[in-house]
Amino acid sequence: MTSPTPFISGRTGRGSAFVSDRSGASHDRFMRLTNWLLLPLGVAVACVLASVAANPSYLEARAIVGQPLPALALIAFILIGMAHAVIGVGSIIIDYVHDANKKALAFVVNTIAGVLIAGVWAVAVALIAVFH
Amino acid sequence: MIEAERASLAERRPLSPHLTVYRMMLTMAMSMAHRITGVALYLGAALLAIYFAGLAAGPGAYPAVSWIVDGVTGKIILVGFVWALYHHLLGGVRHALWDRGILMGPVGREALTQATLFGGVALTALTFYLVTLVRPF
Repeated sequence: MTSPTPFISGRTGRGSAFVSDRSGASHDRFMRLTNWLLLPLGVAVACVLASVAANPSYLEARAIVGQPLPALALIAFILIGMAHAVIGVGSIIIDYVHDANKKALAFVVNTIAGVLIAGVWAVAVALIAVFH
Repeated sequence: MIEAERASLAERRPLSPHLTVYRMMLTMAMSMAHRITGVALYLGAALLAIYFAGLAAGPGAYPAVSWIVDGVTGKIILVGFVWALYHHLLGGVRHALWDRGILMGPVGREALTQATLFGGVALTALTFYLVTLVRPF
């Protein structure tokens, strides 16, 4: 099934691009939306990581990561970023893994890894901020 | 029967030979770099999650994970992660602009691609320079 979408064709203008309105279309919109959200968060996380690189001792690193704004930026970044990453890696799996069983397994591993990484990161940073 | 035919069709379905057919161009190389940096960020996020877990666990656990941010290895990991992050973010902006038909011409698309390539390096250098200068946290 195809249907008109809010995508804008470079050739014919707004609303005229037609795509297959299946999961790919919603994924594409989600990837673009999260890209914009990750821009400011990414800059903030880059600054936090550069600060930790300059001050890598235990007390200094905890003092940097445990502040409210850096902690919030780190948590928001990983939650939005891993949702973005799981779909991004999913598209790589679709492109390069063609065996149905291996593809299904790769999707499961990708999803579990994404949830684990985001969960460990977010809980750890929250604990550091709470017991700052 | 239909299932068997479908499986047979799927097996014989041609895969895109784009990598071996088209001449390598900067836009194509940057498209590949976008995916490579995305995977690198995924792996880097896993390492950093382990680091934050160690940092949260306390001073006893910290030495086991401090190598992720300390010393030469740590610097390489963090600079690499920040560069991959900026490169990937700018790549996403490039794709979002192209979605809207902006800078799609032969000159514009090359200029935008080069801007994202050099922008990633410049923003990484600027971040590490400014953070040591200003110490925002």
